[in-house]
Amino acid sequence: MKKSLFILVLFFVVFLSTCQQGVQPKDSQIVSTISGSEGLRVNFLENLPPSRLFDNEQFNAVVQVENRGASPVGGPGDKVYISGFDPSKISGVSTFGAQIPPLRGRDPHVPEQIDLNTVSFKGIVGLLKNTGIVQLPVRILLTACYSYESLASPQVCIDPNPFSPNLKQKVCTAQPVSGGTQGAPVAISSVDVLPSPGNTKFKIYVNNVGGGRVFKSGLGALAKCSPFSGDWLTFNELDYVEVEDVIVSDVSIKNSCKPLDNNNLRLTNGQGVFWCEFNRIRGTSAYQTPIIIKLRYGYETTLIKNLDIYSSS
Amino acid sequence: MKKIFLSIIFILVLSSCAVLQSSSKRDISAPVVTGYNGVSLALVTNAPPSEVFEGQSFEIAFTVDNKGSTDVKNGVYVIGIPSDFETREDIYGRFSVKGKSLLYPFGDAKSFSVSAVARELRQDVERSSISVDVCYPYRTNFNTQVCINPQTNVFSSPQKICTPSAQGFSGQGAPVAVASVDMPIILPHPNPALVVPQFVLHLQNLGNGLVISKQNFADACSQKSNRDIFNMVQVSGSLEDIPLKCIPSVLRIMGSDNIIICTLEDGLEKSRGSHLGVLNINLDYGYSTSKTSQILIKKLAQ
Repeated sequence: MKKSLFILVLFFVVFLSTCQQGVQPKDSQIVSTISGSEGLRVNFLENLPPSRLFDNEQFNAVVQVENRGASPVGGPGDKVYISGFDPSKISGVSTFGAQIPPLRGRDPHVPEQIDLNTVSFKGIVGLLKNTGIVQLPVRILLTACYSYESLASPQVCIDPNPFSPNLKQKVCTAQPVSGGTQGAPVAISSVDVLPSPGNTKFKIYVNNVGGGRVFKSGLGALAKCSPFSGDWLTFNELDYVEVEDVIVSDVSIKNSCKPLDNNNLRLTNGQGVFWCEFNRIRGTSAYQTPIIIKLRYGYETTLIKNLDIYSSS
Repeated sequence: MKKIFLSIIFILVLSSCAVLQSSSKRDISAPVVTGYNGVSLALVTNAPPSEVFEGQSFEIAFTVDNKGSTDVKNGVYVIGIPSDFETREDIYGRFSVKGKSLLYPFGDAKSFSVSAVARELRQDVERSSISVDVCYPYRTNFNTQVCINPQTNVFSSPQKICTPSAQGFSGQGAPVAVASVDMPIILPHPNPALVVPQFVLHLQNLGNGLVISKQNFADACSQKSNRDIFNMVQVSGSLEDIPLKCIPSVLRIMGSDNIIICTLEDGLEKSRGSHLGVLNINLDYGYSTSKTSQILIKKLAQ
C-alpha cells in the first residue's frame, strides 16, 4: 500500500514537472531578426576635416551616415548639421544642415548588410594673420536629427482562464517576455503579460538605448533639433516617443493604452512604461500570438571632432 | 639569437621614430609668447664701472631686449647723467626692436653705449649714480576662446561643444595682462532672435615698470611728464570679429584688480547655437622701465 502510494506521488510529481515544461514557451525573449541599439551612425571620414588645417586652405568635411537599424532614414527633415565653431574662423558652412540621403533599414534576411552614404560640408577658413593667433583649437559638433521607428513583435500567451483549477494541459502560460533590442535606438525592452479572465493586460517597457536624445516625432520637433534653431526642444517635446500602434491578434489595442499624452509616452531617465489591454480573446483555451508594438520618435545623435587651425603666415 | 637581435634593433628604431614625432608635435603646438615681459633693460657689467677716478673716461652701455610679443617702433631711451660726469654724446635716442613670434622666437635685442668722463672732485670721494630709462609703446594682444551658449534653457543637448566657465591666464607676453575672464554673461536683446554676450575681464600690470598713456609714452622719458599720463590703458576688443563696446575704454590701471566690461551690444544671433567664439582684447599703452647703477668717484692721488 505504502509502495503504491509512493509510486502515485512520484508519478504525480513527474507529471506536474513535465506539464510545467510543456507550457513553457520555447522562447521567452523578444525575438527580432534585427537586433542592435543604434539607428543612424554618423562619423567624419578620415581626414575630412583633417586634424590640422591651415588658414589658407578650404574647410571640407565629409560625414558618413550609416543606417545600422531596422527602420528607413532620409525622409523630410532628417538632417545632419555641423556647428560649435566661431563663424568668423570657419564661415560659409550651411546652417540649414545637409539632408540625409534615403537609407534602407537592415533587411531581416541579410541583417549584416548596412546601407550607407555620405554628406559633405564646405567652408572658408578665416585668416589668422594679424590676430596674434598662431594656432586655434576648434571643436566641431556633428549633430544628426532624424525620425525613426522601433518595431517589436514578441510572442505572448493569451490565456482566457489563467487561474482555472483544472489540470488540462495548456499550450502556454502567461509570463513576461524580456530583453533584447530591435535595431533601433529606442528599445521595447520587455513586456509583462498579466492575464485575467476575459482579458489580458500588457505592461510594456521602453528604453532609450542609443545614447542620444529622443524627442516627439514630427517635422516641428525635428526642426528644433537643429543646433542652429533659435527655438529649441522643450520639456514637452524631449523624452517622448509616440506609440504608433499596439496590435494583438490583428486587433489594434492602442486606444486602451495608458498613461499616454496624445499617444506619446514620456521617458524618465531614458525609461518609460505603459499599459495596454486586450479583451477580444477568442476561444477558451490559451494560445500564443505576437503582440506588435510600433513606436515612432525623433532622435538626435551627436559627435565631437577636434582640430587645429594654424596660421599660414 | 639573430632573431632576438633583429627584434631589438627594430623596436629601437620604432621607439626613436616615436620620439621624433612627439618632439616635432610639441614644437609646433607650443605657445609662442607667454609671461609678463615687454622690453627688458639691462646695464652691461662694468659699464658703468662701480668705481672711477676723477677725469677718467668710461662707457655706459645697456641692452634693450624685446622679450614680449609686440614689435616696438621708435621707443625712447634716456641716460640720466648727473653733473658729476660729462659726456659729449647724445643721451637721448630711439630704438626699434621686434617682438617674439612663432618664426622669430627670441625677439630682437639691441645695445647702446655712450662715453662719459668723471669731473674733478672737490672732496676725496663722492657717491653718484647713472640711470637709463626706456619708454616705449606696447600692446597686449589677448585671444581666448569663450563658450557662447545662447541656449539658456535647461533642455539643451547633453553633448555640448563647451560649457561656459571662468578662465584664468598666465600672461600674454606683455607687462599688462588679462589675468582672468569671468564666465560669459548672456543678456537679452530687444530682438528676441538675438542675445547680448558680455565679458568681465580682470587686468593687471604684472611687469616691473610703469604704465603710461600710449600717446604720451615718450614724455615719461623727458622732463615733460605729469601724473595724468601714468597708468592709462586703451581698451578695444572683438568677439568673432564683431567689435565690442568696452567700458571704460581708457582704463586707469591701479592695484591688483582692474575690471573692464566688454559687451557685444549689436547682439549675436541665437541661431548660431552653442559654440566657441574667439574673444580678442587689445590693450594699448606705453611702458617705462629704468635701471640705475651706483658709482663711487675717487680723487686721484696727488
